[in-house]
Amino acid sequence: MKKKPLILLTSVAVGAGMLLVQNKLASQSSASASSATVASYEHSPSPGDNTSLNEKPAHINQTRQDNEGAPKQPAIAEAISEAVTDDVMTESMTEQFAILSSAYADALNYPSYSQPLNPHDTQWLEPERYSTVSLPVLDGDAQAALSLEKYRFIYPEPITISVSGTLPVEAMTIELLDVETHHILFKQRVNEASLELPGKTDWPQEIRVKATIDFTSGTDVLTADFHYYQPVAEITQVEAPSSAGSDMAIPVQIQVEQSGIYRIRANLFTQSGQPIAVLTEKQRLGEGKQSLTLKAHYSVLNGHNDTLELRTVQVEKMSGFPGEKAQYGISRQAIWPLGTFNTRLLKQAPYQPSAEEQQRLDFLRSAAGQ
Amino acid sequence: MKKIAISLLVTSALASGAIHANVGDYAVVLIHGFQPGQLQSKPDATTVTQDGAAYWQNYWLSQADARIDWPSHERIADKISTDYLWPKLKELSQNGTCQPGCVLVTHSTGDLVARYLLDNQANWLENAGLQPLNIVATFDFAGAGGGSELGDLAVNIAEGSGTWNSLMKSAIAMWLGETPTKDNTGVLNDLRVANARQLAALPDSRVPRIRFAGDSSDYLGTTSGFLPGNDDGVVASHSSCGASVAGDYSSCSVKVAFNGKLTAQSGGVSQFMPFHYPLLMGSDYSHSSLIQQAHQGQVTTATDSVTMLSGQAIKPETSDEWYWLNGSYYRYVNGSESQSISEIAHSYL
Repeated sequence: MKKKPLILLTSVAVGAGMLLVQNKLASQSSASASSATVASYEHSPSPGDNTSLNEKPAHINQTRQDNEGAPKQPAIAEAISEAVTDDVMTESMTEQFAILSSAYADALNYPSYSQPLNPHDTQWLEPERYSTVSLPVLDGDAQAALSLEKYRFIYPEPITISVSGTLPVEAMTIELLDVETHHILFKQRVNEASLELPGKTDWPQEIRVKATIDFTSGTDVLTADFHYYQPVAEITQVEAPSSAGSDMAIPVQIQVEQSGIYRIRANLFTQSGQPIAVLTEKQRLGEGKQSLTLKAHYSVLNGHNDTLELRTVQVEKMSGFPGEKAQYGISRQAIWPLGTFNTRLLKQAPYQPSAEEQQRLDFLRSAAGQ
Repeated sequence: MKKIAISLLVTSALASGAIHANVGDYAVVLIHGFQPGQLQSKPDATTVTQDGAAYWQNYWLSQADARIDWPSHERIADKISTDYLWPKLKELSQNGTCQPGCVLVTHSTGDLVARYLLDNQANWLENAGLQPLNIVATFDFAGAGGGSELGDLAVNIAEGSGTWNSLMKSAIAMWLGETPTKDNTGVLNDLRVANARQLAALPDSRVPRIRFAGDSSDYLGTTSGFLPGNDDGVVASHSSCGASVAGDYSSCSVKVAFNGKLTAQSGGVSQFMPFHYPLLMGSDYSHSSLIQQAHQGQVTTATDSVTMLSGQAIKPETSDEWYWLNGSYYRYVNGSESQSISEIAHSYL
């Protein structure tokens, strides 16, 4: 006989246990019915998942053998006890909120302007990542995708458009459309699965690629959207860092073409390629030659005495009022060397969360009963 | 609507920086999701408000203090912001509704609208001489902040795709109530996966985005074949879980399946958008039933995958290790045998 596992229920009464068994039996029968309806349409579970959808513990309805070996229906109290103790565990919501509050508290060890990075932080490390979507084409047996190398382009960057999929491409007609007006900005037919084209100064911000693709077995249409900007500012210089209390301060020079609220982000790396932190500074800037300071808090530098550099610099003019769209600028260099920095010059003063951040943590802690 | 009991002590404590507010002290502000019928009807402001109330009527309407209603035939960064978000933001700021703190409760595309709001509300309100809203957290049900491949399909069909694929066109028509055309795609353009994931992708404000995800379908599974991984019939789990990258995911957790089974999920989400925390998953909850009162089976937790900024796991494995190694075990949240996922969530507001 199988050894029963330890029970981790937070509280059980026989009456509550009866309700649990009744509801589980009811949900199992309804789940079985819904599973039968859905199964013929749903896609296969992804590889590695050995759990079938809507599967419920099958043991609930099993009989249990007594010592003589003959199958025997258990008394209700025993069935409740068995169903509750066998193969099912429950956890409290307060414990779940405690986990969330721990995660959030950990994040508040670092200021928002200087947050640590690990190699899996794709969104910070690849902020212009294009999310390619593969879709069914023709009669649906084949898939294809229209993709670009990134989401945002800034003049005069060229655009490269590619088609990939399960069918060979004989030729395609590429159109660029203004998403708002549907005016055609560009049209060209090519006998390949990719096309590079130059950007233009009069392009709108939001552009749709419409590809009418001649596959070997038929023609279909795919679309993909991207953004194209005229640069509103340029980072012209990044100076050597210095110590400023608990922060390593990195002065940045920026030539501003359009005044507004600017958000500058950059990833701090070691020269050998290890990501350290994402640095952010938001500041209102006027036109002309301006300066701001990116800061790396001692808590992210963690004794790093390597040669440092800034990469993945983003220059964003934020929306200042509803209806105004964000615009983007450029960095004169893709990588800005910072040299080495003696982190022992920094004061070891822990970051103090803002009142709002503390309140958010308190909300999670309250939900956790802390 | 629920009346709020706003403590003056909380307000003064906020001003002094010594805050210790309790759960239940915060105003609840609802942001609904995509409403397909509005693509054709193109409602006026009065109808948008009526539709917004009807959207939440089943449960959350009576639990909330305010709503932000918006029309699906418009775009988030355009008319949705100027004509619907902005007037409400001003009203909430001027009334002080969120001064002690607000929790946004969002559904579907409301998750994406909320992210755009979180990234811009401070700038907009400060530029207008108003106090920014103090948003404590969001509860995101069936969040479409990562976009939906159905949006990509719909736009493709509107642009001429799908001539040979009646099954695909039927599935989209079932979802939208009609076949999309170039004149009626509205917010579907924002819902395209690439567009959604780049719309205000990385807000500075570190508001916790708490996620609730489902795995059942309102459409007899006809749309699920077009969504990668597990899905709720409209959004795939890469979006509802808050994964940092779109993809084919089997769960919001690498350790527990949507139905609560404790088994390694090699297709589970392990990296999340910043400050996105998966909390509950319900295999019998669909896109729409996640925000309804009706109980739809037990729910499980996805917090195993929550990590610190270093990438280190929060929860020690030892308490559950025996279960992963020794057969079929299921884990459910206490109370979920009788309470719906929305009722459970609301009990913490």
